[in-house]
Amino acid sequence: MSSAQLGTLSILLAFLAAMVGVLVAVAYGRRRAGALINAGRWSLGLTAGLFTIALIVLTVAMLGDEFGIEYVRKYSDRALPTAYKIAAVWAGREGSFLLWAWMLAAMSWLTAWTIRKEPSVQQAAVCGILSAVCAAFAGLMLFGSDPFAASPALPAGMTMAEVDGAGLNPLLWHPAMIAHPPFLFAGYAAFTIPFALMMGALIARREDNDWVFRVRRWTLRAWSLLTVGIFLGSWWAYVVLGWGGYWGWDPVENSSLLPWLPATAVLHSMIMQQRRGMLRVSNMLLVAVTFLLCLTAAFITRGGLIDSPHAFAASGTGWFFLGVIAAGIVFVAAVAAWRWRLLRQSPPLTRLVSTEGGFIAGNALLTIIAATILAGIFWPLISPVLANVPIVGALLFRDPGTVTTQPVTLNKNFYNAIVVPMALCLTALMALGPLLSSVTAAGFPKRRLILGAVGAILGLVMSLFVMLPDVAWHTIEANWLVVAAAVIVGFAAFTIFDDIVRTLLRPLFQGNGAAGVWRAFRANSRRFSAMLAHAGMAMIVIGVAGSSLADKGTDLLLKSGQSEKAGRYTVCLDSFREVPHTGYASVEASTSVSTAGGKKFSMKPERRFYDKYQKQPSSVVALRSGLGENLYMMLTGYSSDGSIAAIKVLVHPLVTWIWIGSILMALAASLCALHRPTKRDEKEQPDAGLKATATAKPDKKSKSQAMAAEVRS
Amino acid sequence: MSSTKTKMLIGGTVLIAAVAWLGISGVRAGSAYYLDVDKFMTDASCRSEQVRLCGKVAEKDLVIDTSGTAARFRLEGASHSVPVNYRGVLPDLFKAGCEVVACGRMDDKGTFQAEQLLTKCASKYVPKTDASRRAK
Repeated sequence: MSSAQLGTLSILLAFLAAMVGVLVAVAYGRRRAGALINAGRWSLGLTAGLFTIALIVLTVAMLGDEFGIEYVRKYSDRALPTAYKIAAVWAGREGSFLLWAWMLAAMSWLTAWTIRKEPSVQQAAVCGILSAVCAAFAGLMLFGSDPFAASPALPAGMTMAEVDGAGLNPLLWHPAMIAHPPFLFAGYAAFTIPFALMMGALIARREDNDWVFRVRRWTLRAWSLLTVGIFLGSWWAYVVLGWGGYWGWDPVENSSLLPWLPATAVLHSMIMQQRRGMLRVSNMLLVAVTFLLCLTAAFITRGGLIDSPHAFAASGTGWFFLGVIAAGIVFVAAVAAWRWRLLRQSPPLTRLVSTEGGFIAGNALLTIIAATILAGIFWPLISPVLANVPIVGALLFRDPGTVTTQPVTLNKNFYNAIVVPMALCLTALMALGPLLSSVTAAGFPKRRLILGAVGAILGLVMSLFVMLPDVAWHTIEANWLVVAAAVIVGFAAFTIFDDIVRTLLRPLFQGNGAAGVWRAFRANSRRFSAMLAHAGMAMIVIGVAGSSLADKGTDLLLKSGQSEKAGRYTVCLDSFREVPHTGYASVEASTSVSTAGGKKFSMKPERRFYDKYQKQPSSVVALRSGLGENLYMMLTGYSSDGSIAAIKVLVHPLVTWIWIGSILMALAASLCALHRPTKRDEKEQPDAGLKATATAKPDKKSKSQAMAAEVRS
Repeated sequence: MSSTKTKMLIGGTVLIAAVAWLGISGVRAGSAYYLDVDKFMTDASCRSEQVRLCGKVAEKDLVIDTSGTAARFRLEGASHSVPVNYRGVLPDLFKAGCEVVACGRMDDKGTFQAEQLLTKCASKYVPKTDASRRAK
């Protein structure tokens, strides 16, 4: 049996195994036999095992240059370095679906094992839903995107040994592109688990809240994976695409951000459900929407419906995802209708200025941002319809008549106009949110408010100090947003710092020493991880605000030995030559850069010509990153005789803060996911919560104390 | 209880109003017609608008500045073509014969002033002529 046949066979068997899993779950609904639960779990295990085999076969085929497989021939070649041969496994559509399916099946199996102690109806439902999604992916590969499809027949007189692959696209020759897809797809795949757990709990009619922590824990895991995936994608865009930005509101970037937003909302508001059974309906909706948006992301990037530079390639894949998304919506609506009475049991919101109120506001803002982005992506399809609606059309379009026939796209002005103010509100909410748990009848805790205000003033002063010298205020509206961001971040930073330091230092003052500090850290690990995540978000806001102040850059035309000034830097072209490498030749401009402060370093922007992609030269940006600013240098061109190099020099303030902030957020979320609920968490909290809710109106203080106690625990 | 609901109602209304206002002004500020060259040249109504113009870079008349940060070329569709002037870093995939999307607007002299050039994204680009490449 050839390896291609082995691969296809394992996917076929995985499809059958997953279908058996679905049937077993349905059967359990009719006849409650314990053996069926085990069968469901084993079928998931089998599916995972078979996908593992398929993935190994494809990887081995990649490493072994088996160009008889079309996918290998399209994305690899003999000269490709081993690391990139492995990355080529997920470089294209078919392989990335296999990777997604494999991760999904593996996580599903893990979930099936970890919920063994839950009620069996829930187990059956969860395994059934997970099997159904696995089956869908296996079906997609079997009937549309087969990674093991054979290459076209060889021309007469040619043997397999003479064939070489098309090679990996030069844009993907970057470490970030090895890691970006696995993280992204792991995140997408992992969001299936909270969805299945949530639906399973509803189907099993669980009235308690003991299962909610599992949903939240998986959401945290998926969220941190997706955060890393988005970070790697935008870092790659920054260093490889060479247009000097990290986020272009491109449909592909947007689609990865889509599930991240409702997921961020739900991992906060799930806390309310875990403690008190509140916000059941919105949590259910957010979890379902997150899962469906992961599928939508695949639909957008791989479906070819939206005409973007990313998605020229059309395929039947689009219809498939549309079908699965539609089925998902119907399923969610059916389960919600079926269990509406259970969902409606949430205790009502008693006070607006409270943790719950904060979470509701956050849910609203994040939902609005997600809806904005979704509308922006699909605008070419929505706009002709809206143009026909009487008043709306006239409000939105200067000439609604033409819009009905010509699709309209939205550029970054649209996103910036809506998302930036919303994101600032959200950051403000993030800064105030942690204080909400200690709001008493007398209002916000004064000491922390004052500290926050000090931070805000510091932010104001610093931002003005940085920007005043060289900014024309009346011309650039965005600068006021930067000041607002600095004020909010200053507030957040001081309150976060206060919270962490006070909790950790209190044991020292009480004379408990280092052991006391460690105990305090352990006891508050969940709150600390939240604070760290918030600190990460604050860093991202600083980075985004700071980098928005970047200027347009300086274009230098340099001969060898010549030097010229670019802002605070002096760039000298030392040599300009062509250097051969394996797989590509590169034109390198070696420069030495000196700063006004007397620092000297060398930078080497290049332009590569890959053997397999002669007609597609790709620039390799030279980058010197610092906490304060990045120096970003591109070789944009050169004269035909090679004597003059054209170099673009850009200075990007604070971009590094975005990368550090993203990593910090992802780490914080995975730290939080490690937190195991103790007996006390599970047993005492719901009671305390219910009591607090019941007595909230007459005695506000006792409620806030109870809440404060919960936050501490 | 009811006061909480009232407050939420008020807050929600304010939020919805704010979002609606942001949305309308955002759409107005960020709308760009997506057109091919033929449509753009034959329909006078969209000449003055900010558009995303898609077409092929003509083989001849392509002038790329030495600095690599400016280009003049003709963007062609099936039957019409339009002169384009672009300032900015050229995308790596930019060359004669490639399909691009030029974002910008037409100036008074009939030259399309592009602020942004987008080429096909390579990672998702499936070559049409696989067979011809294999034969090589």
